[in-house]
Amino acid sequence: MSVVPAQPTAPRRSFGEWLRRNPITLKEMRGRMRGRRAFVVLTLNALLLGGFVALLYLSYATSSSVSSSPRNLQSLGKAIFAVTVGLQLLITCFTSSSAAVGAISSERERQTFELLRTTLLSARSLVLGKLWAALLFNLLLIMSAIPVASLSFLFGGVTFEEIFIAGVVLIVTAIAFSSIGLFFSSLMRRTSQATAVSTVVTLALVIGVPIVMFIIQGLLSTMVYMNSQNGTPSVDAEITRNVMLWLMISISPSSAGVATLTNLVDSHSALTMTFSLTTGGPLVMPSPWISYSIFYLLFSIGLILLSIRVVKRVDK
Amino acid sequence: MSTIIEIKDLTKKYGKRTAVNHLNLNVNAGEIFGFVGPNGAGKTTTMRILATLLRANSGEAVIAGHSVKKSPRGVRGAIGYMPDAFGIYHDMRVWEYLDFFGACYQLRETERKRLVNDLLELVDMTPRRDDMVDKLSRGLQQRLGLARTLIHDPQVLILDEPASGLDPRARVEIRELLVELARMGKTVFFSTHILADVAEICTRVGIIEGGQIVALGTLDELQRGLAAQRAVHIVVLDQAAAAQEFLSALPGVSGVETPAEQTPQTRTRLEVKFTGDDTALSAMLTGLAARHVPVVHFSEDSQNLEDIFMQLTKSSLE
Repeated sequence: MSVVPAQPTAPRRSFGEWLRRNPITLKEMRGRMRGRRAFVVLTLNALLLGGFVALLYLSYATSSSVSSSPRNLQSLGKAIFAVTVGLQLLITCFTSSSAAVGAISSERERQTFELLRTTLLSARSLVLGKLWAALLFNLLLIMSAIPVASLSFLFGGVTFEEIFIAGVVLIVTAIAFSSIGLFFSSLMRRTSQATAVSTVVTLALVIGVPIVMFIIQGLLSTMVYMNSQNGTPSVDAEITRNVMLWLMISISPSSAGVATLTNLVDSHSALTMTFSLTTGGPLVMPSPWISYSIFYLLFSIGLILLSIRVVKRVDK
Repeated sequence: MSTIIEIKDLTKKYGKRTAVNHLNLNVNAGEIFGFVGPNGAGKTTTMRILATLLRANSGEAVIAGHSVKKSPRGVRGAIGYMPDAFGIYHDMRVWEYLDFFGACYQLRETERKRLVNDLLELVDMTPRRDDMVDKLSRGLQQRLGLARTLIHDPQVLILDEPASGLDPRARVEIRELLVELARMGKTVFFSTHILADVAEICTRVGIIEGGQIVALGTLDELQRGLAAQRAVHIVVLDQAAAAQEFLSALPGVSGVETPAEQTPQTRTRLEVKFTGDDTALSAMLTGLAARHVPVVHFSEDSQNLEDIFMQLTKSSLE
C-alpha cells in the first residue's frame, strides 16, 4: 500500500450538499432500501389509503339519495382528499417516530457507536444524518399517497390552499415525530425502551391531547358561565378559555388537522381562525396549522439540539 | 526515536474502584508496543481514554502532539482504534464498509476508491470485496476491522486484543499484518492475553496490573531485570572435577552444583549459578575448551514472557 499523505481538510460545502453527502444518510438509505421491508411498507401504505378511498367512493356511488351534481362531486373530492391526508397524517406520526427510534440506540446495541465516535464524524453530523435518513423515508411514504390523493382532483373541490396546508402539515409532522424518536433513541441504551417511550408520547399527542381537550373544554365552559354576571360571561374568561383550547388544538396533529379543515370549510380562511365571543366581538387567532407548524418546528429544533448534546457526551 | 504516545499520571476511577492508577507510560514512534495484563488490570480503560471515548479523572495523555482532553478531534485524526468487541453492519458489503468509514474521516470520494482497493489488497480481502460483512468469518471481520483503522492513514494504531477469538492461523496472519504496518511507519499499541504474540513481534512490552505499570521494556530488559542470577547448564563427558574447579573460581559464579541424578552415567551435568554478562558467559565456554574439557552441552535458562508475567502479576486468588 502506498503511503497516503495527510488528507487536507474537506472543502466547505453548502448545507444541501452536506446533507446529500452525509455518510450516515447514505448508509442508512442504502440499508433501508436494500431489503424488501421498505417496499412492503410503501405498498401497504398505498393499499391502506386506496382501500379507505375506495370504501368512501363506494358509499357515495351506492347512495341513491345523493345526486351527481357538480356540488356533490366537489364534496366527494374534498372528502377523498381529507380522508387521504388525515390517514396519512396519522400514519406519518407513527412511522416517523419508528423510523428514527433505533437511530442511535441500535448503534449502541450493535457496538458500532464507538467506532463512529472515534472518527472525525461530529455528533451533529451523526444526529442530523440519522434524522435526514428517517425523514427521507417518510417523505417517500407521503409521496406514495399522492396518487391516491390525486383521485380527488378528478372530482374537484380541492383548493390550492388545502393542498399547500396538507403538504406543510405532513412535512412538519414527519420532522417533529422523527425528532421525538431520535431524541429517545439518543437518550436510551436500548431500542426497545426508546420505542416504548416514543410510542407512548406519540399516542399521547395524537389521541391523548384531544381527549384531554374535550374534557377540559367542557370544564372551562362550565367555569366561564358559572363566573358570569347576569348570565353574561366575562370577556377575559372567554378569551382565556378560547386561547387554551386553541393551544391544545395546536399541539395535537389530529385536532390541528380537523380544526384546520373545519375552519377552511366554514369560514374559507386559510390563515386565521375566529372565535365568536358572547359579548359580540370576535377573537381572531392564527389558523391551527400555522401554530401547529411553528410549535412543532421549534420543538423539533430543541429535541435535535438535545440529541446532539447527548451523543456528544463523553463517558465519565 | 520520538515519543508519540505520552501518558502522564493518568487516573480513572469507577466509584470506589481505581481502574487506572497514576499511570505513566511513553511509546516511541514506530514501535510495536505490547500492553499486557490480567483481566481487570486497566488495559481497556487506558485504551478507551486514549481513543477519547472515556474521560480520565486526572492526568493527561498526548498522542502525536494532540491532548485527549483539549484536542480530542486531533487525536481521532491521528489514531485508528479497534475495540475488543466491535459490531458489524448487516446491510453492507465489504467495500461499502470501508468506503463508509472513509467518508466518516472526510476523505474525498476519488481518494476513498483508491484507498479501499489498496487496503483490501493489504489485508488480502480483494476477492471478498462484494461480500456482505455480516457473512464473513470472525478472522475476516478482524482483518476488515484492521483495514478500517487504516482508512485515514493514521500514525498510531490502538488495538484492544486484535487477535481475540481467532484460530492460530488467523492469529499468525494478524501478527504478520501488524509487523507489516510497523514496517510502513505506523506505531502499534495493542493489548493482548496471548503472550506468544507479544514475545514474537513486540519492540517493547508494558505489563500493567491494578492500574499501574509493573514492568516496562524490551523482553531482554524484562528478563534481565527479573533474573538476579543466570542459570547455566553444562554437560561434560569427562574431567568433571577440573571443570567444577575452574568454574567455581570464575568471577560472577556463585555456585556450581552437580545434580545427584546423572543420566546417562557417562556424562556429568553441571548447574552453574552466574551473575556475569554475556561476555563473561562466552569466556566461560572458551575457558573450558582451552582446558580441553569435553563439553557436549552448554545452555542458559531464559525466562519466557509467561514466566515474567506470572512472577510480576498476582493471581486472582491472592
